[in-house]
Amino acid sequence: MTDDIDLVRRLRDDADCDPAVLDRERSRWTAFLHEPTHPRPAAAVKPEHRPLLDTLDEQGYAVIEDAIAPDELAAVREALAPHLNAGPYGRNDFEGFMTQRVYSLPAKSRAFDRLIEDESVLAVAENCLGPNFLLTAALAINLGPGETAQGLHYDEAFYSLPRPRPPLSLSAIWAIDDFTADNGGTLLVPESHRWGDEGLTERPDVVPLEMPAGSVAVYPGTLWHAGGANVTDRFRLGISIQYVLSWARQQESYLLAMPPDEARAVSPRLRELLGYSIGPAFMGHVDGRHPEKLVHRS
Amino acid sequence: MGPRSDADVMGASIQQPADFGEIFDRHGASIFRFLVRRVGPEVAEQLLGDTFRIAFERRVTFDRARETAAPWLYGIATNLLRRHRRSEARRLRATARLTGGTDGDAAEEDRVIAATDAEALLPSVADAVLDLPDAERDVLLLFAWEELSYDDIAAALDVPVGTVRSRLNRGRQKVRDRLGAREEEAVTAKEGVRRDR
Repeated sequence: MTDDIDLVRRLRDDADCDPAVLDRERSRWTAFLHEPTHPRPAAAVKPEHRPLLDTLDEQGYAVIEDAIAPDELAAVREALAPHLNAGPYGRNDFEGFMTQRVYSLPAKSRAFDRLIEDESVLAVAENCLGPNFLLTAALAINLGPGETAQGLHYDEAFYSLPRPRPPLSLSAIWAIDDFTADNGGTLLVPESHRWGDEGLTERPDVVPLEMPAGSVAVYPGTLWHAGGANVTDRFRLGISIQYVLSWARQQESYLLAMPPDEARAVSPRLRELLGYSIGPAFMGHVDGRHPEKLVHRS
Repeated sequence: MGPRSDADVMGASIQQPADFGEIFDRHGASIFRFLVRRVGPEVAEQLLGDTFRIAFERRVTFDRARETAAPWLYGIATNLLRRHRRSEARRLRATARLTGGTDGDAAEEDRVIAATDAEALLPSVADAVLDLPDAERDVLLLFAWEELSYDDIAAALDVPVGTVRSRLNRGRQKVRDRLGAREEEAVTAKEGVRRDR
């Protein structure tokens, strides 16, 4: 019997390996790699984030306490004050008739960048959503006394894709004031991020999100939850920063809220999150070019 | 200080994308040759770019405990080949015809006699290889053509070494079975020819 490997090897044909093709491809690569703008690579999970990601995966939410310093918290509060003083109340039951909402925070003050670009939250988002994810919503929620609880929902229901499935988005709720069961701490349904399309079949067990000011809670857009009722006599301020994977439409149109002239003033990372970035292979291009080039055009 | 390992280059390229060019310089030729062997020059040119583009996008996920990126690149290229089975079949059959086989116009008698020559078996070998399930063909060709070790094939395909061994054994057995049948047929035919004389 002839050796089978030897016979298979005789079918190996190198005659067409044209070195010119290789050279051409090498030139193309060299040019590409020297382009100033590349999609971000997927992040490796840092060991310090592993417990957080495990908790998130298991129960559907995780809390990081002392996520920002008191002075940064004060700056956030100060930047919000004029908007809250002037701000209207919700227009429907979902927004909350006793609740003030301030949308599109990146267009309002640089004080919020610290929250949007929080390293730990971005690491979690990158792990959940892959590289090149975007900011989809950034809003303050000032829950007024007497506000009632929202209906249970999950944030990304408007992306009509069957469940169960991996999340398309991640929410980070920052406690600017303490979150308690009485002042409207978000009602979370543990493990509901794994639910299928059947949704609510009976009244589920809910856990109120309680955390001191300066904490941030993260949960995927697939987790069922509701804003809680505020039965105290004080407002409770929180900020919701939401991220979405690179190919889904953002809720807030940041390229309109932050046109190139304004975007130039923010960090490159924030610009990427706003949408001045390319998702593989060419999502987000402008006339065949990277949107960042528009920002730097004089 | 010696030259940087692939792992070092890959690590540096996360912050300095231009460094990734060194990965192309080191492995571009062998990956290109692999792709040409599998699907021919036209498709190979396109897949070469795709292989390195994907590798570049995933460079953070490269396991830097590995010294060389070659198996990882072979793995990416192998996955891309899955969508080009028709090109692969065309190329393998053409190579088998050109390297071995016989002229379709030759007399039946000549063909039958020639069939016992190893090269005349090549069309059957090509058919057997093409009939293998993708997973077995990938292992067989990484072993026979690229001469990768079991460990490197396991790393390329992200499967245990035991799986590589069993896929290779199954694949080889199927090729041998096909050849056994072909040789038996040829010997019988040859004897028949002799009897007819």
